Amino acid sequence: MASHATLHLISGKGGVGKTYVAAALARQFAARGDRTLLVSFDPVGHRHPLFDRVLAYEPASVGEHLSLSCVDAREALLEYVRRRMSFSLVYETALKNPLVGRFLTALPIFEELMCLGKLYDLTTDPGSPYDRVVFDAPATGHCQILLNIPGVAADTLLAGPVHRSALQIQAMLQNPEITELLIVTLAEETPVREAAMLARYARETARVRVPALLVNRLVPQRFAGAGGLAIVERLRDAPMGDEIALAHAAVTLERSIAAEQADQVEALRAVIEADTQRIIELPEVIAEEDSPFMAALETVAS
Amino acid sequence: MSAPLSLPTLLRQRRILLCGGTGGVGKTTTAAALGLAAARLGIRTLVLTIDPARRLADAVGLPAIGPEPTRTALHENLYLMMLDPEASVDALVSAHAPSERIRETLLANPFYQQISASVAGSREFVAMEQLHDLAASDAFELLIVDTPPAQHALDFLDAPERLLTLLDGSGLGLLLRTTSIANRFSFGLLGQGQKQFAKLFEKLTGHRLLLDLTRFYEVFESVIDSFKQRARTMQRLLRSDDVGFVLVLLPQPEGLARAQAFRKRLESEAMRLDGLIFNQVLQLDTGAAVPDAAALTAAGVPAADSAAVAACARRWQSLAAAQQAAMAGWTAAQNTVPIAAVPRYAETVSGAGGLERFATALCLADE
Repeated sequence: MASHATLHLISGKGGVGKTYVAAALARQFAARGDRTLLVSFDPVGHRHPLFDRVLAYEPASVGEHLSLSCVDAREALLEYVRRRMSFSLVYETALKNPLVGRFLTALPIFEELMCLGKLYDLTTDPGSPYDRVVFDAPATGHCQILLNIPGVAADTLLAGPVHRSALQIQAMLQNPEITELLIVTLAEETPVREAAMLARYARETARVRVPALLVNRLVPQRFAGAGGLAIVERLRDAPMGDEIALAHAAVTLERSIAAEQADQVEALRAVIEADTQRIIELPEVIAEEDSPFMAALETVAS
Repeated sequence: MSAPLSLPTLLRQRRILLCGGTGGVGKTTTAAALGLAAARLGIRTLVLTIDPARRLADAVGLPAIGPEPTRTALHENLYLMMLDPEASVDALVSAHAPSERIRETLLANPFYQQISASVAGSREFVAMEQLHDLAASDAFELLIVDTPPAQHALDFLDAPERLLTLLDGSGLGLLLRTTSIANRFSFGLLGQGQKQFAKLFEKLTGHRLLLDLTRFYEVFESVIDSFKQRARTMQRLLRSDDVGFVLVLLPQPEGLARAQAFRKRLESEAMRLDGLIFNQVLQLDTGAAVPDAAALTAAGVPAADSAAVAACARRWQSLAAAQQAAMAGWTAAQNTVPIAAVPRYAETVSGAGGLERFATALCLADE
């Protein structure tokens, strides 16, 4: 294993299943024996929907080789000061002042930079207990701001330790050996557009590697084309009992959703860089039968 | 919670209807369909959206949705506009700066330039301003707002407060100002913790930022009062009887948990939840048996396909059953009756008649 961990950022439009994909990916890394930390962007005290556990800044074990935590700007700043500044005790008192706290959480550069700084420490610290850090990042628009923050901070703060940290964080994000951004989308117009926008921003502006876009919740394509249409017509024309009516409604629905989704996947394929970015199709997870989903995700993890 | 108003009553009584919900629930489409339903009732309606979806423009027969209210080809009473996506703190500052000189000074401040691009909530603040101006005019009888999708449900309601906290001269702005070189002597007025913070801030970020910040707050103070007044007016408007919320949600257990948090949040803000709209509800007979191979063969399905057809029927039926359970659970737990359940259609709403069908489904419960 390399001396540093790898950082996997998961983003996408709200509602596309980022949290689920991030958790599944983290589980997969852990199952392979990589010591994995899943970091949520949700605040301390928020309940993680899949691990059914309240988020805390300090990582908590949620399985073999798998821990869960969240980022918190104030905690991260306290830690930063503790680790890097002399007279840290004096400053810690200052940072616990509620007025100071309110100001810091409202000051966007600081909050986001501190969160990124925490990810930097977790990933690059030679003493880090993790091989993989999976960050369940904010949704597309906010993620774009987040990727931009180190550059903004480095430009705003022309000197001082935060300036140096910002440059280090930026170097980590732009290092393809360390960081990758995985963009989750649904096969629907708006999520696809946002995914494509974020991918372009990552590539052209933030210079963060995006090896794959993950299209989530795809329905089966088992009735595509003329064969499927023939089945719909047979069912429609058959003497209608409840059973046949159900089958007709189900096949019709699945066929049209699948066709719509296939169009959107094509639209996405048209805007990505085919030689460096892959599209990974994730089937919709039904109840506990998540094996096809995990199998598809395996191609990302490896 | 008292019995919800029927949707037509709601559309007649409110002047502003906010469509809330998390991302991916079909909020934009629902807002447009609510607008069409209102337009059909003879109400002059403007739908304000933040989503530039081409399909929505197609669905209402517009080439694009622009920043000015535009009458749709779909109905003479239905207008659409897009809330300015480029709206920035610049627009705010320009609107509130008492003089040209102050405006220029602020816009040229390096600290201001760096933060203005990334200030969370500034866009929402401007959107709220636009809404306020439209509500104050009589151009429309009803405004339907497609609220920004928010991870933490109601971020846009916090926007004015967040922005004020950041920019408020009475808070740390004052502190930083008093720590500037010219005013070192006023240090004595500050608490110990605040003094330490000012020192730390300078140490962490360098002298230059502190200087920029200081100048920023010196000038910004002249803008802040106008800002605050506007924020208060907007907060009052949101709590008035003219304004209602409808929550759009998918009938899934995860969605419901988020929706519940949304509702609590609304209540804590003393705002009214007018009702729920369940979107993408599967219309399948959950009582019917899944046909066996013999029945499918009799219906003319090729033998090779009968297993797939049965699996498909089972899959969608079980999804429909799970949705029904989720909706029933929500209704029982929240003692709230949904005001509408819109089917998941096989075709997308951008197709011919898609939005009309959606609008009809919204009002179906009352016919």
